[in-house]
Amino acid sequence: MKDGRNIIIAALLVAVLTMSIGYAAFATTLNINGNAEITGTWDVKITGIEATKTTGDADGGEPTFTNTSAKFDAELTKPGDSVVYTITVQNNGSIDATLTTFQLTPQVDGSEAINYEYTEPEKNLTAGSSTTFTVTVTYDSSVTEMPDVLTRSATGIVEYSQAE
Amino acid sequence: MNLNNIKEKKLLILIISYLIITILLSFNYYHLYINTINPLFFLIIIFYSIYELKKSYIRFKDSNNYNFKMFIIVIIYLVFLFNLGFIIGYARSPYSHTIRGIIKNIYQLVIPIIGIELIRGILIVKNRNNKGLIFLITLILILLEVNYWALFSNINNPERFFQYFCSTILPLIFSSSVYSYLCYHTSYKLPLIFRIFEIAFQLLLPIYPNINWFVTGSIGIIVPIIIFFLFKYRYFKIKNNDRKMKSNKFGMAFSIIFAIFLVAFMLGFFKYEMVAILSNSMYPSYERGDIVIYEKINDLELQNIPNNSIIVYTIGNQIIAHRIVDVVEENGTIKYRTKGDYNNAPDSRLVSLEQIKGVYVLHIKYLGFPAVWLNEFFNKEEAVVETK
Repeated sequence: MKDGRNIIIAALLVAVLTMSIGYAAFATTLNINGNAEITGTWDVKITGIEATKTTGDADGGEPTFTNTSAKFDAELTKPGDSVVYTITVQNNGSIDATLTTFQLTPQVDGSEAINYEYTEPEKNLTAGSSTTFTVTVTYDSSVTEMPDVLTRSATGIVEYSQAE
Repeated sequence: MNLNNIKEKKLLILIISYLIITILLSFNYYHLYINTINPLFFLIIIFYSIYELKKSYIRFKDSNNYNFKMFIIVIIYLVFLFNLGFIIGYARSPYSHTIRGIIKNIYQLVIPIIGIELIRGILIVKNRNNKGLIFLITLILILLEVNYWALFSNINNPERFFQYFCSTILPLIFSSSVYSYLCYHTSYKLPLIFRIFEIAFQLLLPIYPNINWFVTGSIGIIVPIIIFFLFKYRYFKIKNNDRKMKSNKFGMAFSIIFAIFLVAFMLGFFKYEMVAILSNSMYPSYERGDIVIYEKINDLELQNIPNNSIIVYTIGNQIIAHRIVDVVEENGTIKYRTKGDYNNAPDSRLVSLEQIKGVYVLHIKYLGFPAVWLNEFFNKEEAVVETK
Protein backbone atom coordinates (compact mmCIF):
# COMPACT_ATOMS: atom_id res chain seq x y z
CA MET A 1 0.00 0.00 0.00
CA LYS A 2 2.80 2.39 0.92
CA ASP A 3 4.55 1.82 -2.41
CA GLY A 4 1.28 2.49 -4.19
CA ARG A 5 0.90 5.74 -2.29
CA ASN A 6 4.42 6.84 -3.17
CA ILE A 7 3.74 6.25 -6.86
CA ILE A 8 0.55 8.32 -6.70
CA ILE A 9 2.29 11.14 -4.86
CA ALA A 10 5.19 11.06 -7.34
CA ALA A 11 2.75 11.12 -10.26
CA LEU A 12 0.90 14.05 -8.73
CA LEU A 13 4.08 16.00 -8.10
CA VAL A 14 5.25 15.36 -11.65
CA ALA A 15 1.88 16.50 -13.00
CA VAL A 16 1.87 19.68 -10.92
CA LEU A 17 5.51 20.39 -11.78
CA THR A 18 4.86 19.89 -15.50
CA MET A 19 1.90 22.19 -15.23
CA SER A 20 3.96 24.82 -13.43
CA ILE A 21 6.64 24.72 -16.14
CA GLY A 22 3.92 24.97 -18.76
CA TYR A 23 2.41 27.89 -16.89
CA ALA A 24 5.73 29.68 -16.72
CA ALA A 25 6.17 29.15 -20.45
CA PHE A 26 2.66 30.29 -21.34
CA ALA A 27 2.44 33.07 -18.76
CA THR A 28 3.62 35.72 -21.15
CA THR A 29 1.02 34.83 -23.74
CA LEU A 30 -1.87 34.18 -21.40
CA ASN A 31 -4.68 36.61 -21.85
CA ILE A 32 -5.34 37.77 -18.32
CA ASN A 33 -8.32 40.09 -18.25
CA GLY A 34 -9.72 41.97 -15.30
CA ASN A 35 -10.48 40.51 -11.93
CA ALA A 36 -11.41 36.93 -11.18
CA GLU A 37 -14.94 36.54 -9.87
CA ILE A 38 -14.15 34.57 -6.75
CA THR A 39 -17.57 34.33 -5.23
CA GLY A 40 -18.20 34.08 -1.55
CA THR A 41 -15.58 36.56 -0.47
CA TRP A 42 -15.48 38.93 -3.45
CA ASP A 43 -18.51 40.83 -4.59
CA VAL A 44 -17.35 44.23 -5.88
CA LYS A 45 -19.77 45.38 -8.53
CA ILE A 46 -21.17 48.36 -10.32
CA THR A 47 -24.68 48.54 -8.91
CA GLY A 48 -26.10 51.53 -10.72
CA ILE A 49 -25.65 54.22 -13.32
CA GLU A 50 -27.93 57.11 -14.09
CA ALA A 51 -27.87 60.39 -15.94
CA THR A 52 -28.06 62.77 -12.99
CA LYS A 53 -27.73 66.10 -14.83
CA THR A 54 -28.38 67.20 -18.39
CA THR A 55 -27.62 70.59 -19.92
CA GLY A 56 -29.35 72.06 -22.95
CA ASP A 57 -31.12 69.56 -25.20
CA ALA A 58 -28.92 66.63 -24.20
CA ASP A 59 -30.40 63.17 -23.84
CA GLY A 60 -28.67 60.77 -21.47
CA GLY A 61 -30.18 57.72 -23.21
CA GLU A 62 -30.35 54.45 -21.32
CA PRO A 63 -26.93 53.69 -19.87
CA THR A 64 -26.28 50.02 -19.13
CA PHE A 65 -23.89 48.25 -16.82
CA THR A 66 -22.50 44.84 -16.02
CA ASN A 67 -20.65 43.84 -12.86
CA THR A 68 -17.47 45.70 -13.78
CA SER A 69 -18.28 47.84 -16.80
CA ALA A 70 -20.70 50.63 -17.63
CA LYS A 71 -21.73 51.82 -21.08
CA PHE A 72 -23.00 55.33 -21.84
CA ASP A 73 -24.72 56.46 -24.98
CA ALA A 74 -25.34 60.20 -24.89
CA GLU A 75 -27.13 62.18 -27.59
CA LEU A 76 -26.08 65.81 -27.67
CA THR A 77 -27.67 68.13 -30.21
CA LYS A 78 -25.81 71.44 -29.92
CA PRO A 79 -22.41 72.69 -28.71
CA GLY A 80 -22.30 73.10 -24.96
CA ASP A 81 -24.81 70.30 -24.27
CA SER A 82 -23.68 67.88 -21.59
CA VAL A 83 -24.79 64.90 -19.53
CA VAL A 84 -23.42 63.89 -16.14
CA TYR A 85 -23.64 60.17 -15.33
CA THR A 86 -23.27 58.99 -11.76
CA ILE A 87 -21.96 55.47 -11.29
CA THR A 88 -22.21 53.53 -8.05
CA VAL A 89 -19.73 50.79 -7.15
CA GLN A 90 -20.53 48.62 -4.14
CA ASN A 91 -18.44 46.14 -2.18
CA ASN A 92 -20.81 43.45 -0.93
CA GLY A 93 -18.02 40.97 -0.32
CA SER A 94 -16.24 40.24 2.92
CA ILE A 95 -12.85 41.73 1.96
CA ASP A 96 -11.83 45.41 1.95
CA ALA A 97 -11.02 46.43 -1.61
CA THR A 98 -9.13 49.21 -3.35
CA LEU A 99 -10.26 50.43 -6.74
CA THR A 100 -7.07 50.17 -8.72
CA THR A 101 -8.24 51.31 -12.12
CA PHE A 102 -11.05 53.18 -13.69
CA GLN A 103 -10.59 53.17 -17.45
CA LEU A 104 -12.87 55.12 -19.74
CA THR A 105 -12.64 54.24 -23.41
CA PRO A 106 -14.63 56.46 -25.79
CA GLN A 107 -15.85 54.90 -29.02
CA VAL A 108 -13.10 55.25 -31.65
CA ASP A 109 -15.31 56.05 -34.65
CA GLY A 110 -17.73 58.26 -32.68
CA SER A 111 -17.97 62.04 -32.97
CA GLU A 112 -14.75 63.83 -32.01
CA ALA A 113 -16.80 66.82 -30.95
CA ILE A 114 -18.04 64.81 -27.97
CA ASN A 115 -15.65 64.70 -25.01
CA TYR A 116 -15.65 62.55 -21.90
CA GLU A 117 -14.30 63.52 -18.49
CA TYR A 118 -14.56 61.70 -15.19
CA THR A 119 -13.88 62.25 -11.52
CA GLU A 120 -11.51 59.78 -9.85
CA PRO A 121 -13.49 57.40 -7.64
CA GLU A 122 -12.77 57.05 -3.94
CA LYS A 123 -10.06 54.37 -3.89
CA ASN A 124 -10.88 52.68 -0.60
CA LEU A 125 -13.94 50.50 -0.71
CA THR A 126 -14.25 48.69 2.60
CA ALA A 127 -16.45 45.60 2.89
CA GLY A 128 -20.07 46.67 2.95
CA SER A 129 -19.49 50.18 1.60
CA SER A 130 -20.16 51.89 -1.72
CA THR A 131 -18.73 54.79 -3.66
CA THR A 132 -19.94 56.96 -6.51
CA PHE A 133 -18.15 58.87 -9.22
CA THR A 134 -19.24 60.89 -12.19
CA VAL A 135 -18.59 60.85 -15.91
CA THR A 136 -19.40 64.02 -17.83
CA VAL A 137 -20.10 63.91 -21.57
CA THR A 138 -19.85 67.30 -23.31
CA TYR A 139 -20.50 68.52 -26.84
CA ASP A 140 -17.43 70.68 -27.46
CA SER A 141 -18.67 74.29 -27.22
CA SER A 142 -15.97 75.54 -29.59
CA VAL A 143 -17.38 73.53 -32.52
CA THR A 144 -18.76 75.84 -35.20
CA GLU A 145 -19.59 73.35 -37.94
CA MET A 146 -22.04 70.50 -37.69
CA PRO A 147 -20.02 67.25 -37.43
CA ASP A 148 -20.98 64.23 -39.59
CA VAL A 149 -21.41 61.94 -36.63
CA LEU A 150 -23.37 63.10 -33.63
CA THR A 151 -23.06 60.20 -31.23
CA ARG A 152 -20.18 58.70 -29.29
CA SER A 153 -20.54 55.96 -26.74
CA ALA A 154 -17.96 55.07 -24.11
CA THR A 155 -17.24 52.11 -21.90
CA GLY A 156 -15.88 52.41 -18.38
CA ILE A 157 -14.15 49.49 -16.69
CA VAL A 158 -13.53 49.21 -12.97
CA GLU A 159 -10.78 47.03 -11.50
CA TYR A 160 -9.99 46.34 -7.88
CA SER A 161 -7.68 44.48 -5.55
CA GLN A 162 -7.51 43.73 -1.86
CA ALA A 163 -6.82 46.70 0.39
CA GLU A 164 -3.70 46.29 2.51
CA MET B 1 -33.12 16.07 20.83
CA ASN B 2 -30.58 14.73 23.30
CA LEU B 3 -27.00 15.80 23.43
CA ASN B 4 -24.55 13.44 25.00
CA ASN B 5 -23.12 15.84 27.47
CA ILE B 6 -23.65 19.25 28.91
CA LYS B 7 -20.58 20.77 27.23
CA GLU B 8 -21.86 19.97 23.75
CA LYS B 9 -25.24 21.39 24.66
CA LYS B 10 -23.53 24.61 25.73
CA LEU B 11 -21.49 24.68 22.51
CA LEU B 12 -24.61 24.27 20.39
CA ILE B 13 -26.42 27.05 22.28
CA LEU B 14 -23.33 29.26 21.85
CA ILE B 15 -23.29 28.61 18.08
CA ILE B 16 -27.01 29.35 17.71
CA SER B 17 -26.58 32.56 19.72
CA TYR B 18 -23.63 33.53 17.57
CA LEU B 19 -25.69 32.88 14.43
CA ILE B 20 -28.31 35.37 15.67
CA ILE B 21 -25.57 37.89 16.48
CA THR B 22 -24.09 37.33 12.98
CA ILE B 23 -27.40 38.14 11.30
CA LEU B 24 -27.93 41.24 13.45
CA LEU B 25 -24.39 42.57 13.03
CA SER B 26 -24.41 41.94 9.27
CA PHE B 27 -26.65 44.94 8.72
CA ASN B 28 -25.27 47.72 10.86
CA TYR B 29 -21.77 46.63 11.89
CA TYR B 30 -20.75 44.46 8.96
CA HIS B 31 -17.21 45.80 8.70
CA LEU B 32 -16.51 45.34 12.40
CA TYR B 33 -18.10 41.91 12.30
CA ILE B 34 -16.22 40.57 9.28
CA ASN B 35 -12.80 42.02 10.19
CA THR B 36 -12.71 41.56 13.95
CA ILE B 37 -15.59 39.81 15.67
CA ASN B 38 -15.95 36.80 13.37
CA PRO B 39 -12.25 35.78 13.22
CA LEU B 40 -11.87 36.38 16.96
CA PHE B 41 -14.88 34.23 17.79
CA PHE B 42 -13.60 31.34 15.70
CA LEU B 43 -10.08 31.73 17.09
CA ILE B 44 -11.51 31.16 20.58
CA ILE B 45 -13.53 28.22 19.20
CA ILE B 46 -10.35 26.70 17.75
CA PHE B 47 -8.50 26.86 21.08
CA TYR B 48 -11.49 25.38 22.88
CA SER B 49 -11.91 22.63 20.26
CA ILE B 50 -8.24 21.63 20.35
CA TYR B 51 -8.50 21.30 24.13
CA GLU B 52 -11.70 19.27 23.85
CA LEU B 53 -10.45 17.03 21.06
CA LYS B 54 -7.20 16.32 22.92
CA LYS B 55 -9.16 15.21 25.94
CA SER B 56 -11.41 12.86 24.07
CA TYR B 57 -9.44 11.93 21.01
CA ILE B 58 -10.79 8.89 19.23
CA ARG B 59 -8.65 7.33 16.57
CA PHE B 60 -10.69 5.97 13.70
CA LYS B 61 -9.86 2.86 11.80
CA ASP B 62 -8.38 3.67 8.39
CA SER B 63 -8.33 7.35 9.31
CA ASN B 64 -4.97 8.04 7.63
CA ASN B 65 -6.03 6.12 4.57
CA TYR B 66 -9.15 8.30 4.18
CA ASN B 67 -7.16 11.48 4.77
CA PHE B 68 -4.72 10.46 2.06
CA LYS B 69 -7.57 9.78 -0.35
CA MET B 70 -9.07 13.18 0.37
CA PHE B 71 -5.65 14.75 -0.22
CA ILE B 72 -5.47 13.10 -3.64
CA ILE B 73 -9.03 14.16 -4.49
CA VAL B 74 -8.44 17.80 -3.58
CA ILE B 75 -5.18 17.95 -5.55
CA ILE B 76 -6.88 16.47 -8.63
CA TYR B 77 -9.78 18.93 -8.21
CA LEU B 78 -7.45 21.93 -7.94
CA VAL B 79 -5.34 20.82 -10.92
CA PHE B 80 -8.58 20.48 -12.91
CA LEU B 81 -9.78 23.90 -11.73
CA PHE B 82 -6.49 25.54 -12.65
CA ASN B 83 -6.44 23.90 -16.07
CA LEU B 84 -9.98 25.09 -16.70
CA GLY B 85 -8.37 28.49 -17.08
CA PHE B 86 -6.62 27.34 -20.26
CA ILE B 87 -10.07 26.89 -21.82
CA ILE B 88 -12.06 29.67 -20.16
CA GLY B 89 -9.22 32.13 -19.54
CA TYR B 90 -7.52 33.55 -16.47
CA ALA B 91 -8.07 36.71 -14.49
CA ARG B 92 -6.02 38.47 -11.84
CA SER B 93 -6.74 37.28 -8.33
CA PRO B 94 -7.92 40.26 -6.28
CA TYR B 95 -6.30 38.85 -3.12
CA SER B 96 -3.24 40.56 -1.72
CA HIS B 97 -0.06 38.46 -1.92
CA THR B 98 2.14 40.44 0.43
CA ILE B 99 3.12 38.78 3.72
CA ARG B 100 0.82 41.19 5.57
CA GLY B 101 -2.03 40.46 3.18
CA ILE B 102 -1.60 36.70 3.48
CA ILE B 103 -1.55 36.86 7.31
CA LYS B 104 -4.64 39.07 7.25
CA ASN B 105 -6.42 36.61 4.96
CA ILE B 106 -5.48 33.67 7.16
CA TYR B 107 -6.95 35.52 10.13
CA GLN B 108 -10.07 36.66 8.35
CA LEU B 109 -10.84 33.71 6.06
CA VAL B 110 -8.96 30.57 7.11
CA ILE B 111 -9.61 30.74 10.85
CA PRO B 112 -13.43 30.78 10.50
CA ILE B 113 -13.19 27.73 8.19
CA ILE B 114 -11.07 25.79 10.69
CA GLY B 115 -13.40 26.85 13.50
CA ILE B 116 -16.51 25.71 11.66
CA GLU B 117 -15.01 22.31 10.80
CA LEU B 118 -13.85 21.75 14.38
CA ILE B 119 -17.34 22.56 15.68
CA ARG B 120 -18.76 20.14 13.13
CA GLY B 121 -16.22 17.53 14.25
CA ILE B 122 -16.97 17.86 17.97
CA LEU B 123 -20.74 17.94 17.64
CA ILE B 124 -21.23 15.28 14.97
CA VAL B 125 -18.62 12.72 16.00
CA LYS B 126 -19.98 12.55 19.52
CA ASN B 127 -23.64 12.36 18.46
CA ARG B 128 -23.56 9.85 15.64
CA ASN B 129 -26.77 8.17 16.73
CA ASN B 130 -28.80 11.32 16.53
CA LYS B 131 -29.47 12.02 12.84
CA GLY B 132 -31.92 14.82 13.62
CA LEU B 133 -29.22 16.61 15.56
CA ILE B 134 -26.70 16.12 12.74
CA PHE B 135 -29.19 17.73 10.36
CA LEU B 136 -29.67 20.65 12.76
CA ILE B 137 -25.91 21.14 13.19
CA THR B 138 -25.41 21.09 9.41
CA LEU B 139 -28.18 23.64 8.94
CA ILE B 140 -26.72 25.96 11.60
CA LEU B 141 -23.24 25.71 10.07
CA ILE B 142 -24.66 26.51 6.62
CA LEU B 143 -26.47 29.55 8.03
CA LEU B 144 -23.29 30.59 9.83
CA GLU B 145 -21.35 30.75 6.58
CA VAL B 146 -23.91 32.81 4.65
CA ASN B 147 -22.86 36.38 3.97
CA TYR B 148 -26.12 38.09 4.96
CA TRP B 149 -24.90 41.49 3.91
CA ALA B 150 -24.28 40.29 0.35
CA LEU B 151 -27.48 38.26 0.33
CA PHE B 152 -29.69 41.23 1.24
CA SER B 153 -27.69 43.71 -0.84
CA ASN B 154 -28.47 41.65 -3.92
CA ILE B 155 -32.13 41.10 -3.08
CA ASN B 156 -33.35 44.18 -4.97
CA ASN B 157 -31.96 42.85 -8.24
CA PRO B 158 -33.59 39.46 -9.00
CA GLU B 159 -30.99 38.55 -11.62
CA ARG B 160 -28.05 39.21 -9.31
CA PHE B 161 -29.82 37.52 -6.42
CA PHE B 162 -30.36 34.43 -8.56
CA GLN B 163 -26.70 34.41 -9.61
CA TYR B 164 -25.54 34.95 -6.04
CA PHE B 165 -27.81 32.20 -4.76
CA CYS B 166 -26.62 29.71 -7.43
CA SER B 167 -22.92 30.50 -7.11
CA THR B 168 -22.69 30.82 -3.32
CA ILE B 169 -25.66 29.52 -1.35
CA LEU B 170 -26.38 26.32 -3.34
CA PRO B 171 -22.73 25.14 -3.26
CA LEU B 172 -22.68 25.94 0.46
CA ILE B 173 -25.71 23.70 1.07
CA PHE B 174 -24.24 20.83 -0.98
CA SER B 175 -20.71 21.05 0.39
CA SER B 176 -21.73 21.47 4.02
CA SER B 177 -24.04 18.46 3.79
CA VAL B 178 -21.22 16.35 2.34
CA TYR B 179 -18.77 17.60 5.01
CA SER B 180 -21.23 16.50 7.69
CA TYR B 181 -21.56 13.11 6.01
CA LEU B 182 -17.77 12.70 5.97
CA CYS B 183 -17.57 13.80 9.58
CA TYR B 184 -20.27 11.31 10.50
CA HIS B 185 -18.18 8.45 9.10
CA THR B 186 -14.71 9.62 10.12
CA SER B 187 -13.71 12.89 11.78
CA TYR B 188 -13.37 16.64 11.18
CA LYS B 189 -10.11 16.00 9.31
CA LEU B 190 -11.57 15.02 5.93
CA PRO B 191 -13.57 18.22 5.36
CA LEU B 192 -10.76 20.27 6.86
CA ILE B 193 -8.18 18.87 4.42
CA PHE B 194 -10.42 19.70 1.47
CA ARG B 195 -11.29 23.18 2.65
CA ILE B 196 -7.76 24.23 3.65
CA PHE B 197 -6.33 23.25 0.26
CA GLU B 198 -9.22 24.91 -1.56
CA ILE B 199 -8.89 28.24 0.28
CA ALA B 200 -5.07 28.17 0.01
CA PHE B 201 -5.46 27.75 -3.76
CA GLN B 202 -7.71 30.82 -3.90
CA LEU B 203 -5.60 32.97 -1.61
CA LEU B 204 -2.12 32.23 -2.89
CA LEU B 205 -2.46 31.98 -6.65
CA PRO B 206 -1.76 35.28 -8.45
CA ILE B 207 -4.16 34.35 -11.22
CA TYR B 208 -7.40 32.44 -11.08
CA PRO B 209 -9.53 30.76 -13.77
CA ASN B 210 -11.96 33.39 -15.01
CA ILE B 211 -15.03 31.35 -14.19
CA ASN B 212 -18.43 33.01 -14.09
CA TRP B 213 -21.26 32.43 -11.61
CA PHE B 214 -22.60 29.48 -13.62
CA VAL B 215 -19.30 27.56 -13.61
CA THR B 216 -18.64 28.45 -9.96
CA GLY B 217 -22.07 27.19 -8.97
CA SER B 218 -21.83 24.04 -11.10
CA ILE B 219 -18.41 23.12 -9.71
CA GLY B 220 -19.60 23.94 -6.20
CA ILE B 221 -22.45 21.45 -6.55
CA ILE B 222 -20.88 18.70 -8.65
CA VAL B 223 -17.56 18.39 -6.77
CA PRO B 224 -19.15 17.71 -3.33
CA ILE B 225 -21.44 15.15 -4.97
CA ILE B 226 -18.43 13.40 -6.56
CA ILE B 227 -16.68 13.35 -3.17
CA PHE B 228 -19.82 11.94 -1.57
CA PHE B 229 -20.06 9.31 -4.30
CA LEU B 230 -16.41 8.27 -3.98
CA PHE B 231 -16.50 7.94 -0.21
CA LYS B 232 -19.91 6.33 0.02
CA TYR B 233 -19.53 3.77 -2.75
CA ARG B 234 -15.80 3.20 -2.96
CA TYR B 235 -13.91 4.09 0.20
CA PHE B 236 -16.26 3.56 3.15
CA LYS B 237 -16.86 -0.14 3.19
CA ILE B 238 -20.42 0.00 4.43
CA LYS B 239 -21.89 -3.48 4.62
CA ASN B 240 -25.01 -2.96 2.62
CA ASN B 241 -24.17 -4.44 -0.72
CA ASP B 242 -27.67 -5.27 -1.84
CA ARG B 243 -29.30 -4.66 -5.21
CA LYS B 244 -30.81 -1.31 -4.17
CA MET B 245 -27.38 -0.02 -3.18
CA LYS B 246 -25.96 -0.98 -6.57
CA SER B 247 -28.88 0.65 -8.34
CA ASN B 248 -28.33 3.88 -6.32
CA LYS B 249 -24.65 3.78 -7.18
CA PHE B 250 -25.27 3.60 -10.91
CA GLY B 251 -28.04 6.18 -10.68
CA MET B 252 -25.76 8.64 -8.96
CA ALA B 253 -22.83 7.95 -11.32
CA PHE B 254 -25.13 8.55 -14.28
CA SER B 255 -26.45 11.78 -12.72
CA ILE B 256 -22.93 13.10 -12.16
CA ILE B 257 -21.90 12.34 -15.75
CA PHE B 258 -25.10 13.91 -17.07
CA ALA B 259 -24.58 17.05 -14.92
CA ILE B 260 -21.00 17.44 -16.19
CA PHE B 261 -22.17 16.94 -19.77
CA LEU B 262 -24.95 19.51 -19.33
CA VAL B 263 -22.58 22.13 -17.87
CA ALA B 264 -20.06 21.54 -20.69
CA PHE B 265 -22.89 21.83 -23.24
CA MET B 266 -24.19 25.09 -21.73
CA LEU B 267 -20.67 26.50 -21.78
CA GLY B 268 -20.36 25.78 -25.48
CA PHE B 269 -17.62 23.14 -25.29
CA PHE B 270 -19.34 21.09 -27.98
CA LYS B 271 -20.11 21.77 -31.61
CA TYR B 272 -23.77 22.26 -30.75
CA GLU B 273 -25.35 24.88 -28.50
CA MET B 274 -28.91 25.82 -27.66
CA VAL B 275 -31.02 28.91 -27.21
CA ALA B 276 -34.50 29.36 -25.71
CA ILE B 277 -37.08 31.10 -27.91
CA LEU B 278 -38.88 34.08 -26.38
CA SER B 279 -41.20 35.26 -29.17
CA ASN B 280 -43.38 33.83 -31.92
CA SER B 281 -41.55 35.65 -34.72
CA MET B 282 -40.59 32.32 -36.38
CA TYR B 283 -44.01 30.66 -36.03
CA PRO B 284 -44.87 28.06 -37.38
CA SER B 285 -41.27 26.81 -37.75
CA TYR B 286 -40.90 27.04 -33.98
CA GLU B 287 -42.48 29.17 -31.30
CA ARG B 288 -42.13 30.76 -27.92
CA GLY B 289 -40.97 28.30 -25.28
CA ASP B 290 -39.14 26.01 -27.73
CA ILE B 291 -35.42 25.35 -27.66
CA VAL B 292 -33.36 25.71 -30.82
CA ILE B 293 -30.21 23.62 -31.12
CA TYR B 294 -27.69 25.20 -33.47
CA GLU B 295 -24.37 24.09 -34.90
CA LYS B 296 -21.29 26.29 -34.66
CA ILE B 297 -19.63 26.78 -38.04
CA ASN B 298 -16.18 27.81 -39.24
CA ASP B 299 -15.13 30.99 -41.10
CA LEU B 300 -15.40 29.39 -44.55
CA GLU B 301 -18.85 27.96 -43.89
CA LEU B 302 -19.95 31.36 -42.55
CA GLN B 303 -19.51 32.91 -46.00
CA ASN B 304 -21.51 30.21 -47.76
CA ILE B 305 -24.66 29.76 -45.72
CA PRO B 306 -27.42 28.87 -48.20
CA ASN B 307 -30.40 31.15 -48.60
CA ASN B 308 -33.44 30.07 -46.55
CA SER B 309 -31.26 28.70 -43.72
CA ILE B 310 -32.05 29.77 -40.18
CA ILE B 311 -29.10 31.41 -38.45
CA VAL B 312 -28.52 32.21 -34.80
CA TYR B 313 -26.83 35.58 -34.34
CA THR B 314 -26.26 38.29 -31.76
CA ILE B 315 -27.16 41.96 -31.60
CA GLY B 316 -25.59 43.38 -28.45
CA ASN B 317 -26.62 41.00 -25.68
CA GLN B 318 -29.59 39.63 -27.63
CA ILE B 319 -29.48 36.30 -29.42
CA ILE B 320 -31.79 36.04 -32.43
CA ALA B 321 -32.67 33.04 -34.59
CA HIS B 322 -34.14 34.19 -37.93
CA ARG B 323 -34.18 32.95 -41.53
CA ILE B 324 -31.83 34.26 -44.24
CA VAL B 325 -33.87 35.83 -47.04
CA ASP B 326 -31.07 37.47 -49.00
CA VAL B 327 -27.28 37.59 -49.24
CA VAL B 328 -25.96 41.13 -49.63
CA GLU B 329 -22.43 42.27 -50.47
CA GLU B 330 -21.61 45.53 -48.72
CA ASN B 331 -18.16 47.16 -49.18
CA GLY B 332 -16.72 43.82 -50.30
CA THR B 333 -18.00 41.88 -47.28
CA ILE B 334 -20.86 39.43 -47.19
CA LYS B 335 -23.85 40.24 -45.01
CA TYR B 336 -27.15 38.43 -44.59
CA ARG B 337 -30.65 39.89 -44.65
CA THR B 338 -32.85 38.01 -42.17
CA LYS B 339 -36.57 37.77 -41.46
CA GLY B 340 -38.79 36.06 -38.93
CA ASP B 341 -41.22 33.68 -40.72
CA TYR B 342 -44.18 35.25 -38.93
CA ASN B 343 -43.04 38.84 -39.57
CA ASN B 344 -44.28 40.84 -42.56
CA ALA B 345 -40.98 42.57 -43.28
CA PRO B 346 -37.30 41.62 -43.11
CA ASP B 347 -35.27 42.68 -40.06
CA SER B 348 -34.07 46.29 -40.23
CA ARG B 349 -30.36 45.53 -39.73
CA LEU B 350 -28.16 43.32 -41.90
CA VAL B 351 -26.26 40.54 -40.11
CA SER B 352 -22.47 40.54 -40.47
CA LEU B 353 -20.42 37.33 -40.29
CA GLU B 354 -18.92 38.07 -36.87
CA GLN B 355 -22.43 38.30 -35.37
CA ILE B 356 -23.31 34.74 -36.40
CA LYS B 357 -23.11 32.05 -33.72
CA GLY B 358 -24.33 29.10 -35.78
CA VAL B 359 -26.90 27.47 -38.02
CA TYR B 360 -30.21 25.96 -36.89
CA VAL B 361 -30.20 22.16 -36.61
CA LEU B 362 -33.40 21.26 -34.78
CA HIS B 363 -35.80 22.49 -32.16
CA ILE B 364 -37.36 20.84 -29.13
CA LYS B 365 -40.83 21.92 -28.12
CA TYR B 366 -41.65 23.47 -24.72
CA LEU B 367 -38.21 22.78 -23.20
CA GLY B 368 -37.31 26.46 -23.20
CA PHE B 369 -40.24 27.64 -21.06
CA PRO B 370 -38.31 27.65 -17.75
CA ALA B 371 -35.72 29.98 -19.33
CA VAL B 372 -38.50 32.13 -20.83
CA TRP B 373 -40.30 32.44 -17.49
CA LEU B 374 -37.07 33.19 -15.69
CA ASN B 375 -36.32 35.82 -18.31
CA GLU B 376 -39.72 37.43 -17.83
CA PHE B 377 -39.24 37.32 -14.07
CA PHE B 378 -35.96 39.18 -14.43
CA ASN B 379 -37.62 41.47 -16.98
CA LYS B 380 -34.40 41.67 -18.88
CA GLU B 381 -34.77 42.82 -22.47
CA GLU B 382 -31.28 41.83 -23.56
CA ALA B 383 -31.71 38.28 -22.35
CA VAL B 384 -30.07 35.32 -24.02
CA VAL B 385 -33.18 34.49 -25.92
CA GLU B 386 -34.45 35.16 -29.37
CA THR B 387 -36.60 38.26 -29.66
CA LYS B 388 -38.73 39.64 -32.42
